[in-house]
Amino acid sequence: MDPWRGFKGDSWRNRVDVADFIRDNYQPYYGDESFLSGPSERTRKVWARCLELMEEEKRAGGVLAIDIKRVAGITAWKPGYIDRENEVIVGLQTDEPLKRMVNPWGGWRMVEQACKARGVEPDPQMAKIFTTYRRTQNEAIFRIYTPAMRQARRLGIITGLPDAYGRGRLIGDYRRVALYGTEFLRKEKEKDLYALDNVDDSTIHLREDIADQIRALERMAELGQAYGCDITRPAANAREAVQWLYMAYLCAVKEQNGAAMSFGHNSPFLDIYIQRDLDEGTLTETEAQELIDQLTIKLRLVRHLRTPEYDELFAGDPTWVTESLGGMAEDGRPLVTKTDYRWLQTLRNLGTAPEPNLTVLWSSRLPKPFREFCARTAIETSAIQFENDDLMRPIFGDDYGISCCVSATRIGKDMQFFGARVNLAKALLLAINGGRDEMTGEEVVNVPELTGEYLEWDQVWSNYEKVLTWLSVLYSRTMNCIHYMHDKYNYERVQMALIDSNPHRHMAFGVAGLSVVADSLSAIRFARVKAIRNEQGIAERFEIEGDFPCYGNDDDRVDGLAVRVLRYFYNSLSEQPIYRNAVPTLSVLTITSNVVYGKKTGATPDGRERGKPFAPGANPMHGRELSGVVAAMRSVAKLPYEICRDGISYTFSITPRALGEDMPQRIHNLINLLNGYFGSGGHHMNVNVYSRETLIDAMEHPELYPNLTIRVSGYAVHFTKLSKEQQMEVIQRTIYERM
Amino acid sequence: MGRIQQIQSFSTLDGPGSRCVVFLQGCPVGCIFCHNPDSWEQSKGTEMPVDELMRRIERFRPFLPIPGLTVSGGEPLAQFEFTMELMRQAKAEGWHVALDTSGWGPAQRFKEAVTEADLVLFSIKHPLEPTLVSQVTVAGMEEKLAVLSRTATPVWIRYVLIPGWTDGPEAAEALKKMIAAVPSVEKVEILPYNSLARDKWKKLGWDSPLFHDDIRTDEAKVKEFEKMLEIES
Ligand code: SF4
Repeated sequence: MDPWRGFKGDSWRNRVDVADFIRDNYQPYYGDESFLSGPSERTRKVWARCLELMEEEKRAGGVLAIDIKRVAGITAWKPGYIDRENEVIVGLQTDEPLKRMVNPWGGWRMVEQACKARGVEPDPQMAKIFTTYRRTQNEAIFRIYTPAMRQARRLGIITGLPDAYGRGRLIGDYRRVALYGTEFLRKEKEKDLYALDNVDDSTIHLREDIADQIRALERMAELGQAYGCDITRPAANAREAVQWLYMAYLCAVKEQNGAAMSFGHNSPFLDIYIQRDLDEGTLTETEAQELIDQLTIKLRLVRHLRTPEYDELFAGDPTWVTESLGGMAEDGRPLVTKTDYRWLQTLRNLGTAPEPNLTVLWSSRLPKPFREFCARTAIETSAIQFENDDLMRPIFGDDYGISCCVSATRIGKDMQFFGARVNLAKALLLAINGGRDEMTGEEVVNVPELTGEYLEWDQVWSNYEKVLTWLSVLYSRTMNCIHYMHDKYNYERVQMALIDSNPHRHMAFGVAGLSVVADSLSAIRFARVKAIRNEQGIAERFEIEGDFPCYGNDDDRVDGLAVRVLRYFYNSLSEQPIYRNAVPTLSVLTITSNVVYGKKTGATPDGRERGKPFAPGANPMHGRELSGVVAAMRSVAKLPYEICRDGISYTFSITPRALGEDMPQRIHNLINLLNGYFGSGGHHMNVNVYSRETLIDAMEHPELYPNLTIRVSGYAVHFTKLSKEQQMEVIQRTIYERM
Repeated sequence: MGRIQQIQSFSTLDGPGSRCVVFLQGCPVGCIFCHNPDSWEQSKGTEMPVDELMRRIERFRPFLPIPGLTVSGGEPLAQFEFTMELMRQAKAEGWHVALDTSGWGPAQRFKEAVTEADLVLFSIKHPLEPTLVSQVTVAGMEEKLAVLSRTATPVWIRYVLIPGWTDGPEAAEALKKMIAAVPSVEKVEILPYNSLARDKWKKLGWDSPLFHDDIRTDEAKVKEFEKMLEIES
């Protein structure tokens, strides 16, 4: 049967162009959710088995099993199943569900730590290979780190760097495998390889990359074969399209343990196949839903082996299988299809869960029923996030997806060098303490000592500029070194095989602690701040005399300071040479690590005590947003997306009653808040609708809340999987309510 | 110039839809159940002209499809001139303006304010003995109700239900009569009391008789009282 039967358009047939294929063939859906179907019998059975396994996993302390004998790879395991006769979509990372792989390419030390934390001894043979014969990413990076880089890392000035784990962030265009089959893709890559000659370092580098990608495509076909799927050819129906797509993604997560392994923006694409089958009478709505449900089950089973240190940064075992929904096409049609609804329906059919990380690309022009369905789902589940399509589309076009938490990336065209973030609050303390670290007293950077008991604005700002300039040099050099080595020793050949051969590269820098810094600068500028220094001259705490405006109240005086810091830092980063000519971007994002960053940071001039958590992402500090949610959103929306293209994360929490009297009111109000925030230039919003009492109760009786999902900066977690400290931090956040 | 205690940019609890609320500083009413005792003192707060206040709330408009403003307090009528000017300007800019008041001050002023507002949220402290829980007198209350009984402005009655203080059957009966006498009443809100504001009072070094036993109103009590009033929530 012709796999492309009935498809329209030509341009996509002879060259890889999925976006064109979608444009020519998708059908926008303007209706409501009434067509949706519940879970099939088969889905119920498979999911029930998974729930049992996840329960066992929880009882085992978070990790069910580790296969220490094999090295992670596309074809390392024979096929594995959950419940073979009821699985409609097949393929597991290893040969058993939830069994974790050992992935030594990133670094042997991490394998050791992760295994030891789980009471498992790593395989001595493998240890020998990866410590004696084969250099890993981690080892390579640490060999060329400079003392300054090590110091900044150790003190927590630059944090969370992907030097000990996979950088992730790349989204392969997994749809390509379904549309074209691996054989066509392989031939296209061969053409690219032979179109280049070995002229200089950078072309040789590129040619080696492409050669690796060709290898990956061959391996992927082998994996398909093992599962009885001939992915060398295009998918011929909806089930195959979903299966091929997943098989391609599976190869990526078999080989890579990147922090975020996102899935893309697949609904319009899959919908074309589903609609064709529905029209041909070979598929029912229940079966269509079954495909998406079973795909979702598979995505919820993705696991990686992590170290305790990693878990502290990124709590709740996230994998960021981010899937983008909605959005508008550039021709003005909504990119909303029935399959977008089917994805949201998985939260009902399978219950709420953090993965996949469902992200709605919001436009005020989305069809009304879809906006309402998304809002209702967000209110009922606290499991989805929203991003501003009207802001991103002009920059990224309409075929982009969200990578990781909040970062837009053109599917199959862009790649990102993930760079975690610097602690801006610690940088400010360096400026105040003559360049010495406030926690250890170590000399870090050379800036003048401040004079006088009170902090003088001019002096502090001038020092802060010096520190930020120094930091941008150090940070960019550190990133160059990490990504050079990552490319060399832990290259993502699967994802890159599904991205254009010479992609557009972003260097994704990031900052944490922005609200602490804005408020601190505001206190120094608008009130009087006395530094209480110890005998070494380091400010141990601050006394504030008078009032000062706080970020989060729509007060331009302080919001402007936040913007000023971002601009200054971004401009200095832009002046730095960047590996592979990547374009610098910046994120204001913390994930759950705002707790850890806070721990490593001394008292700050805004009155925050030593060790206390930062606010998450771009949020105002807890309890300082006194003017309500709209004012807080207005403040956040002032942060300039044009320089923070890696994303500005805002987490919004409100009680059901404060959002509105009943469900129709709540839906209506949430839509207005989203329209208002995004209309004001806001970029991203997590929506949480719950009461503090629920969270406190869940902390005390976790067994009663196995599915309680909440949004933290950029992803969702099971609340009960957070550490006590992180739970407390979430509870202390501002939850909008009125007494 | 007015004295502003706080601007709340989003509320679903102070009038229809979602709206912003301006809390004016200063309140002489002294309710023992007050949730906002910081608003009492006349001299606190931030001074601001009406234009400036309007500029601030205008920024919230994109978030409010039907721009709604509630002027609350404190007691807005304690800053009568400012409240009038604010209502006038806001209305001219297309805002739906609600006045949240206990009707403090001369009846004539009250009447002017009620006429200017698009909606009045009128608090009845206690229908029989308002002085039990506030500085409102029976005479003062009655003259305000008389004004309301003749106005075309829609009215929402608000009533804080405090077990042992304001929840008796006689009170319910009297309240019912009062409500019946105001033809433009659109809604009656029975608000449950809780002691969450206790810390705010303590910080100010004040005490309320309600703090001595742990008084709070549960949902069932509210329902029961609403039944007595023959209203449904
Ligand atoms: S009128 Fe309002 S602000 Fe004044 S004391 Fe009573 S409750 Fe408090």
